[in-house]
Amino acid sequence: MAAQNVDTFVIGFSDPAIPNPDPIRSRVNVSQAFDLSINNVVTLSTNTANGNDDIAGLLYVPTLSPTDPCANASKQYVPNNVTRLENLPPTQYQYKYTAFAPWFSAECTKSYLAAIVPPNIITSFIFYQPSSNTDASPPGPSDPTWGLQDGGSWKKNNPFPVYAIPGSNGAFFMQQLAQYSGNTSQAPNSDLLSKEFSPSDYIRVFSTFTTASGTSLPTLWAFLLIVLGVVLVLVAITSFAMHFIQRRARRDLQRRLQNGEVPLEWLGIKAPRMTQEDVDALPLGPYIPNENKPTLPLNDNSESTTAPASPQKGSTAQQKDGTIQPPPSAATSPQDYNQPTCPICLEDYIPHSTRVRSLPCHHIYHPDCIDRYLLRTSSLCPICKTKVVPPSHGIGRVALPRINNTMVRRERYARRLAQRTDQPSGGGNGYGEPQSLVPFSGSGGFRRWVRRVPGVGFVGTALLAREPNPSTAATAGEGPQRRQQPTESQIEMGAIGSSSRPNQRPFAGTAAAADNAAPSSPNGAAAEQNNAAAPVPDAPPPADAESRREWARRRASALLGRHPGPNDNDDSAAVADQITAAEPDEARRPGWRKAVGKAFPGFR
Amino acid sequence: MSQKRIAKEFGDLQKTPLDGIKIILPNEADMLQWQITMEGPKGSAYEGGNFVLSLSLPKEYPFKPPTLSFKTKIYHPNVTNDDKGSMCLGLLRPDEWKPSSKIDTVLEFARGLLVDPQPDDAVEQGIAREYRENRKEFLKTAKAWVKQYAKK
Repeated sequence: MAAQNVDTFVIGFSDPAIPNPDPIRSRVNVSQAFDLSINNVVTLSTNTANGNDDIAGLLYVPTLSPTDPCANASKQYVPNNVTRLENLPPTQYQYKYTAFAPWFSAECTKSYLAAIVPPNIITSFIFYQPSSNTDASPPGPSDPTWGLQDGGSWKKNNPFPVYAIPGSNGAFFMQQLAQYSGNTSQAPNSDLLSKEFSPSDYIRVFSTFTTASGTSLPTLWAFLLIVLGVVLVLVAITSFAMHFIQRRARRDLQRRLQNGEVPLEWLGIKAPRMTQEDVDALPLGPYIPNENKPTLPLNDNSESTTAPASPQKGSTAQQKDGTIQPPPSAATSPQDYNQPTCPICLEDYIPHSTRVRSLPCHHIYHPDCIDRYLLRTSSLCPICKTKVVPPSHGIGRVALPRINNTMVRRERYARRLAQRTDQPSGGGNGYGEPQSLVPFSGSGGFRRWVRRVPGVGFVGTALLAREPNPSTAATAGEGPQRRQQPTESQIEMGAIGSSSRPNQRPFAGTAAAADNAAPSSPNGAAAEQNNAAAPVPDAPPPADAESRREWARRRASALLGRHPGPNDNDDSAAVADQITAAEPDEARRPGWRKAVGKAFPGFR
Repeated sequence: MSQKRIAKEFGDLQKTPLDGIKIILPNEADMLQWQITMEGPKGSAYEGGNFVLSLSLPKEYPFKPPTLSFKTKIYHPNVTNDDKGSMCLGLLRPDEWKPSSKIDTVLEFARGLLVDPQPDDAVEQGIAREYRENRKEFLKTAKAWVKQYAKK
């Protein structure tokens, strides 16, 4: 136990050897003796044989053997009449002792330590360096002056704590020990002492240590604890405030989402899952084979153009592009196509027996296969990727995801991105205005922006389609002129226009638009869709094979609004993809960041 | 469901193997790991080579795409030039994958890619540039690699 402080004073007590001793020990008044408290205590060793006992005892100077040269050497520091063990009550009375000696050489210190026989009679050993005559703190415990040339093992080998006090205090104690070694009459102020004590009483020097393991905390620690407490409270308040803000943001987003103000793509949800209710509402019926009918076109253009293919495949894709028709009108039914096999489990349907689920795009599946997919994976048809929930259904009917903080962040980011486009677009800042179409087909800032983040093209489309306005048709009418120079912008226009086609609708962006357009004027909307679709066939593929493939790839990726590849820096990244890229992968985030994120939502 | 479909596709491919493609299961109990040996198509830079590929199917197959990687080193713009040998196939990207696509389509595409590399979709830009600008050098290196790594 490290000592903080040692208090040394004079006590008087009866000789325990006399019959009926008075057990009371009393501290001699300061005015008659001395009382010195030393703070500059250095703890050299904390080896405590006596466990938790108080470190306190009557001071004495161990006696060295007369043959030891140290006995002679210490004479200059230790007066002849200093208190020795034999001047204290014998050990059988169980008084506590504290040894006290000068530390002037390693050899003599060893002698002093060896003079403690048995070693457990003392509660501690106090040394002082007579070479120092100040009351400054002695050197630290690791200082070489405390070395005994044994590598420090003396500290372990002696079963008592060892302390050092400043040199001047040690010299003072030595002097006092010489005065308080005999009976009362020899002590200073003996006339005053004799009034209080009988001549046979012991008047001796006593030391008691205050150790660090005491219950009262040092002031520095208390201060640190207070600081820590304040910091904790601040952290808690901040955390609470951030949670509160995030909760409000989540609720706000939930509300806007329900009102259809936010495209789900902005939240990083490309294909929301369906509700059980919506899945149950899809037509279910027996499979009726119809081998004479054509196979339902798969709209496979993305596969054959974006994916690498052999040359002949590539060219068939072009033909297919030309022949793809708008989806079957309301008059057709799944029975109009030959679909003998479930594309998910690859099992053939049993005619007139297997019950099949048909989606609005007329693709049919086993209910067991498709339902799970629609409920858990995506609401897009696994074959043609058409949105299964009809757009008129409105976004509110799609199973809305639980809003989390990541979604809030994404939405904010996407909104900011979208807002940024408002400024450079110059005159075209009002999307509802027909003029806003100009920067679209021209080369304004907006178009440049579209090229960078074409996902917003969908947003733009959505807002355009909101106006069932002849000007949309007018834009489409520009097709023939633009045919002269099949540039990127044209391809984009075609892509953007065609994204309104019901069968190739990239899901979220246009949902809100169709939502608005469809109920108000279904015919107008349909006409608009046809018009909007017109530019696609209008834009012919470039002549040479290389750029034609590139053209098809761009077109397909624009149609589908997907990022064509991780290394592809070109235009087809959707906002959602851009956000996804900006988002650190949740799984790769280190644990501490996840924890901080939990405590401070919104911290990144 | 995925087990049934995988077993069916595996059975079909054993019954009517694709041209130049052999499929085995390295671990009989694990239907999700396929090992494919693909011959370099005739007329391509990879002719005469035997390429080992590993196809791993996710548990959610067919709703999630399988992944295809070359175990044999190959000098190709669409295959990463590291020990993974991942192949860049548009078909296999999560958002382009369709549950109706089958493994034989995937393998045919992979083989088609050997015949006709797609430098625009490259994962190895350096090789892609060489393929576009210096076809002769590309063919030389590709053939050398076939000799070194993919000999029968």
